[in-house]
Amino acid sequence: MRLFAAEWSRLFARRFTRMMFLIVILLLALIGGGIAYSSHVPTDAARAKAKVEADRQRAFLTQQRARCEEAVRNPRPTPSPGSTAGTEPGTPGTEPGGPPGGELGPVSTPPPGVTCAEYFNPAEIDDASFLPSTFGFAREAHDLVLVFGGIFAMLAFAVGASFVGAEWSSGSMMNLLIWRPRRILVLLTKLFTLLFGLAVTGALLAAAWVAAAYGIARYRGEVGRVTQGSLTSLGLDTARALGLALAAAAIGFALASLGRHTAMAMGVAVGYLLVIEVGLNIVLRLTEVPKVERWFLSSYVQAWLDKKAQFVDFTPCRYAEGDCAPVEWSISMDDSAVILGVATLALVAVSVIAMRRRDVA
Amino acid sequence: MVSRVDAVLEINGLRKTYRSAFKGPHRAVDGLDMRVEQGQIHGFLGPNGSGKTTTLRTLLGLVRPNSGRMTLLGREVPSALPEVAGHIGAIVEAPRFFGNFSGRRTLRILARAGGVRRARVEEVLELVGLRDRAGDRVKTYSLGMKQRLAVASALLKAPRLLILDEPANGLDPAGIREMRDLMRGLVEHGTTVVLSSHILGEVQQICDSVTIISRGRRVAHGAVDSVLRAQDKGEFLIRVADHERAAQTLRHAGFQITTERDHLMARGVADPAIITETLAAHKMWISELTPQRPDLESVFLQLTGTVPEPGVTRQVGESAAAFGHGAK
Ligand SMILES: Nc1ncnc2c1ncn2[C@@H]1O[C@H](COP(=O)(O)OP(=O)(O)O)[C@@H](O)[C@H]1O
Ligand SMILES: [Mg+2]
Repeated sequence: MRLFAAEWSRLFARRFTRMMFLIVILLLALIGGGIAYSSHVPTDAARAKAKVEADRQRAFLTQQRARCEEAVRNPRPTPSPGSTAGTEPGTPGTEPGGPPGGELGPVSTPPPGVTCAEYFNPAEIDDASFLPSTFGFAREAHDLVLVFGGIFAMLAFAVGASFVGAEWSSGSMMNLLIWRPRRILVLLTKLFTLLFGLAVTGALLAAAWVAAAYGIARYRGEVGRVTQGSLTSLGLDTARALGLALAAAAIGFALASLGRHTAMAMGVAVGYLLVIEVGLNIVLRLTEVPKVERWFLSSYVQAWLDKKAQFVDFTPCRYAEGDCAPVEWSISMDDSAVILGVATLALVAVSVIAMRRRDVA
Repeated sequence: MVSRVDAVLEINGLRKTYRSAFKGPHRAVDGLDMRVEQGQIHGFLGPNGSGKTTTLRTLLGLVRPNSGRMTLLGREVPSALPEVAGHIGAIVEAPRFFGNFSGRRTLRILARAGGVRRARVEEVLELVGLRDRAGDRVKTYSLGMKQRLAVASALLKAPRLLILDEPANGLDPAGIREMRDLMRGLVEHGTTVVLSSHILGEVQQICDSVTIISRGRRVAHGAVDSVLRAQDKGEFLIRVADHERAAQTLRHAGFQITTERDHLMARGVADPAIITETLAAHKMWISELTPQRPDLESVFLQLTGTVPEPGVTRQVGESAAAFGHGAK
């Protein structure tokens, strides 16, 4: 407990910790400010204008649908023999939702299996699409939490690494061990303090961030439909983002403790990004390894934050002639929890074992 | 020399070999024995790289020994270290603190981690003379001030045993004197002090006993006088009017003489009366005849200059023969 109290005051007395928090807060403020600046509450005039615009669009689609149905009923002979009725999807034609008015070119027909009513559907046109951009809390809060999670995870990694790395390289770890000659206790207390401190500050920051998003929506955008369910979901998003940050902190801590220097953790992080996420990625893609994404932590991070990450594997199409089905696959949140959790725990375990036996000299 | 006084620090046959992936194994401590008795100021002396810091680190559980037995305050270490650590204050090697914290904050955090009351921080700051600069960042301290801060941190627990590695490093002469007074004061209150050094001038004046090591082995130990006496080679400084003739005469009489610019040195003299007699017989009158008592500095240089050379077989029971090794 005494150690915890000492570590706690050390954590927040450190300039690096304070600087990092300052930077993160400034960054979040900048993002929030940008959103607030670009978001506008729709005025009645703007709404009316958007409705006119949307109505024109809907009318156009209704008309196109009628022409489409007509064309399907009476297929016109086409110049190129062998091709079936209508134009192939993707050939130049009128796209759904394209600019209305002017010449009515040849109508495009939907791909097989899609009806004209589905292809030209006026109900899909939303007035909101014709309004100047409006920040919607219900719509976009999830994404903002992800942004927060990413930024805070980077802070956590750096603070975690420096919290123990600077202790090693400055020699104060040695002082501390002379003072309290229980190595594992000292290291784990430090780690626990770090994680606890980041969890508390992270939760506070996240709450402030969501509140700020709500404020922006309330005064410069629209809140939208916020239900008990959506709030719970947002809370879970935040919890997962914080969980990711704590894992990042533990990894940074373990690496810096192993290397006895903050730079060690930073170096490994940069090295990992360059060698694995970029280098290996290129190599694996060139050699057409199936489901490449599964080899990269970033995919699991994405899946963890987003509950699920979807990927499409095109490698089966490599030598396929004609039709081929790309494989759709995904990483689930649970897969990610296992992978990220095991990686984090393994690193921490290694750093504890190293702490047990090494010479502090 | 068995003493009735309890040993607060005892080392037997300590060995430590550093294994480095790049440089290969390096034997830093090689069968070291050491004993420090209660209430003393004990000098732990040796040239740079002789293994002082390694020994102290091993005692404090920072480094794992390859073999050897160590006790601190009568308890086997490193196993009992957590129990005795509360009574031991130590600084090892250059005092290194986190540069961005003030001296006071550094001590407060340590005090908190060690369960020391806060007021003690101000007491030790006062003791080491850092009171007025305690609020400044450690980064801005001179080496001597950092050294004082380190001593302050070691004093926080009001230790029964204070271990200081090269505490005089970076101190100005006034600082060294203050440090000396501080240690005297501590010893009067029952603290035992072990201080390592490769600079001997100060140590000679302050220490009750010494252990001198070279290449990780003890080459001399005991009370300062007894170490000095053991190294006394019966040297005398002689001044006479005619150096050259006196030197010749004495050499003729079987003395080992070296001529200096304005005096002669005689070595291996059992009884200086014979010098007087010999010269008087040749009508030379001595104006000065001074016994050259070895100071610790020269003893130290001699002892540590006569270390076993690499390649020479290391002998078992080195410490027992340590005194014998002294003379060249
Ligand atoms: N961490 C280490 N790794 C490898 N060799 C070391 C290490 N620390 C010290 N040494 C070596 O051990 C020997 C003794 O060093 P040290 O105990 O620091 O001597 P002293 O304190 O008497 O100057 C030196 O030769 C030194 O180079
Ligand atoms: Mg040293």
